[in-house]
Amino acid sequence: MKARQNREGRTPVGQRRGGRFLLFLLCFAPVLFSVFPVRAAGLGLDYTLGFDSRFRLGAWTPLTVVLENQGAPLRGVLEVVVTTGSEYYQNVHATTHAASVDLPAHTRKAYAFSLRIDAFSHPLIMRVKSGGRVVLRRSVNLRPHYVTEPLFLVLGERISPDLFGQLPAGGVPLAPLARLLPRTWYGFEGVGMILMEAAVLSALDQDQAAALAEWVRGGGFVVLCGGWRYEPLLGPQAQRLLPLTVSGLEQVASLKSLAAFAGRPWTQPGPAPVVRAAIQGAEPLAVEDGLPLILQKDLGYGRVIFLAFDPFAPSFSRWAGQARFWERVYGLKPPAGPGPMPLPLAGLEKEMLAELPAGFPSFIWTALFLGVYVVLVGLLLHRIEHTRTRQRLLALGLPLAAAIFSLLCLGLLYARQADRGRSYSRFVHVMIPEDGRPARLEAVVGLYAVRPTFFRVHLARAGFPLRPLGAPLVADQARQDEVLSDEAGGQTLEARMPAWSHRFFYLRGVVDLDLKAEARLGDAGLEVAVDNPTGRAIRGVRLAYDGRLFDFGDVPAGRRLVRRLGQARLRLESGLDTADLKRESESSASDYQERLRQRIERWAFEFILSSVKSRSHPESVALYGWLDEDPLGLAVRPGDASGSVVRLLEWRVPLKRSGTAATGHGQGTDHAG
Amino acid sequence: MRAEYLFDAQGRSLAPFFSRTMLGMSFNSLFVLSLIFLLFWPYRDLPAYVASLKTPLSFLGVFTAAVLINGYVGLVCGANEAHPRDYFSRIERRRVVTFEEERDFLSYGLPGFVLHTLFLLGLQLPFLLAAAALTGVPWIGLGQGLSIIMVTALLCRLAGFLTYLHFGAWTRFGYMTTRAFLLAYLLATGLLLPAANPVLQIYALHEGRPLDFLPTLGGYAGFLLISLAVLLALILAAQVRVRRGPAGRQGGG
Repeated sequence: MKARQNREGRTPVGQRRGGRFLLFLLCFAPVLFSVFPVRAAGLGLDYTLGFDSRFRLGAWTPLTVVLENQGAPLRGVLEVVVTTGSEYYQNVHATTHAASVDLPAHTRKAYAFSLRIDAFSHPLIMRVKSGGRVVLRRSVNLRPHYVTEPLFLVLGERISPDLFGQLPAGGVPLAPLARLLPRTWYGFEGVGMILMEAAVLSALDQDQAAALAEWVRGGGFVVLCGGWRYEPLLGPQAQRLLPLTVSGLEQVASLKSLAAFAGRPWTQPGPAPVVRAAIQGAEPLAVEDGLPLILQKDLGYGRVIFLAFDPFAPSFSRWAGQARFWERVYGLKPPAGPGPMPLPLAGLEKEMLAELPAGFPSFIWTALFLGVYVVLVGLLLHRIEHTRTRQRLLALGLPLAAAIFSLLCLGLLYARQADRGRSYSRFVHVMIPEDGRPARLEAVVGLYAVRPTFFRVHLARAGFPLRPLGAPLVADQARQDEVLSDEAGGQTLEARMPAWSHRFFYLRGVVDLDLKAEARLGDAGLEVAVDNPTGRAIRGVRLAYDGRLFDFGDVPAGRRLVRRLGQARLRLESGLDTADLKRESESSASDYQERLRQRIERWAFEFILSSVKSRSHPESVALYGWLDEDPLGLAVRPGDASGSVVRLLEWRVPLKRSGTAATGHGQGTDHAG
Repeated sequence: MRAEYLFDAQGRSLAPFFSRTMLGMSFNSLFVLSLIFLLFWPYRDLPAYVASLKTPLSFLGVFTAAVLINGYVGLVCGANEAHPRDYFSRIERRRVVTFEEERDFLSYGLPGFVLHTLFLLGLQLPFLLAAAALTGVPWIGLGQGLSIIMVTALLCRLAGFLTYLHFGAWTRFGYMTTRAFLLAYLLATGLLLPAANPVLQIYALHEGRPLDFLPTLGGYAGFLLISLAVLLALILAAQVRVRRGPAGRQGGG
């Protein structure tokens, strides 16, 4: 710098101007940094969407994001933004799935998400935020990735591409990597069938194996194949999926019994290895030399088909009847999931909205209160105007009166309304089917904000995907997106809601309820016994039989309850009707939770009565009651938000007909009739 | 402490708090506000508002009315139109030099203006609190709403006072100028400078979110910045004019 100075030691004019220009540019540096997202040096992002880059529209799908950090340690959050809705209808709405990121230098980590993608017109956004700033962002065009048909996943190392042509129509065959399978059961929602080698089981981690088993239990369909490499069938992953016992490998002369199954002649020469396996409660569909070749096992609402032979071996894959065989196998798929629950939840939102803990203060009392204030001020003003002696004293009364009434307004109106400014309600419906399959649960969570509120809903149990119910009604609200975070053993939903708004969220899943019931119809009448070994009482139980509804009473926790309806009562009594239920629920409940329960009960029983009346000659009876606790473990923040929960238990019990009704009752047995 | 603006026995205050005219004006403003409160009462159930995503209009109606009422009263008081005079003295335009003109503005006039504005706002406070409670406006929004009313009223009062200092009381120009100011401030700013418009700011608080048509700095902070800057300018102008003394000014008064 010195060399450029002139003799007087002054900087040349041009250089001074250049320095000023640089200083001027430096002034804009913060603006430039704030406009363009900062890219963290050495941070890379790779992803796998769906199964083999394909996903089914309108269903939950897996996404695996791999972050690689070659730079400085990074802490932040990885967000995946799924956008749905239409600009035209102004209902564009985004759901953000978030996961905490802690990446030391020179590390690589994979993050698994399950997303529900309903629209392909909006890109999928993945971004990493650190210190409140986006350090990495990736946008994915969804158009090339979506399909509308169910997916057929073929998992294995020896899969021939020819197999894809043999699989039945109506699905999209894909061969994803086993390690990229979802870690939640609902991540498989878009899948129609999984065809897997036994070896794949050993490639699954604990979460994936659990998710697969849970998906099957909830209505999924898996075809598990044996063969030479049957060792993974002995492992814990296979046991988690189905109660399988393997006692070795045997050679059969041929697989000709498959001809009867597929309806095509078996033409392949030579023997074939077959796994000697037994599955408890499974139905053999093809047997060769006393060895079951195909076993069908129903698990919950789903089904597993076990093929004891290797369908990927050349002896099978060259068979001309292969396509027909797979068509027949796919025909064994159980009906699409457990089907809808009997209560139409669309009408429920209206009922839930009708009973909120918050309410306006009484008009009469408020008008009276403020009227008294106006009169008092008027009197004081009049006195001040017409008096000379005590003018100053009376003048003091004005601010005093204003202060007292303001404080009363603050305490009685403002603070009270503020307390009730945010609330929530929840309706949980648990249904136990009559065929012994697991109970199904669905729930609607309603969040209501009278003032701007940041709600945090924590669901302690995993496996119940939370999703918004219905699109936001106005454009302003559509901006109030929610953030879903999957945590160990649960998930958290964060929703920022504007004043005077509501949002509904829906979740469903399968639960285990340790309840037992028995119904017998004999000469003495109808006898229904309920065992409730759980710690939850069931209150206000009604019994639906022969198109009518009868009172059953409460079933306390840890008790057995038997109720008997004599033939005379069954013949004469017309049962409860909507009018009875309405009369019962018209009791003046001061507690809003009780009011909500009564309202929902009235709403639910209208549907229940109509469904009961449509089944006048039933093979089962139904019990309807209210659970004290639900198995969800759902907590709502802020803690001062007022909440109410209503839990309906619907329980279908198969009816046994006998000459005489059972008579013996144990300790703690109640009798009625 | 000199506080002739409370009870002016000599008739030389702009708007004595407890003069006959001001007492009537205070009561009338309270009465009008109570009618507005009844008009904007949410006559539907609260769940119906939440279900339809609609906000009760109580806050918007009552606070907007308070802005207009207090702004007008401030303007009238500042312009010496609330002076307890009879009809003939207005016709005669007999010159009365008020204490606000005589004394140092910062130590006498301004505190009087601020106190009177607070006094009028205090009388209306129960209605304002009740309206904010009905609409569910949070604490911050309530404070912002009250400060918008306060700042607007003070600004109008200073504008009226400057008009009075310039044109004198009960002059046609003075009368027209004050009304033109009120219209410009409450209406024209809505079109030309939305950030400075108090009614739009109340509307933004009612909506509970920044409005699309307001610029980035058009929220409450922008309003406060602009209003305080104008207020400061008006205070300085008033101080300068008062220091020059009544003789140095024109107008009949």
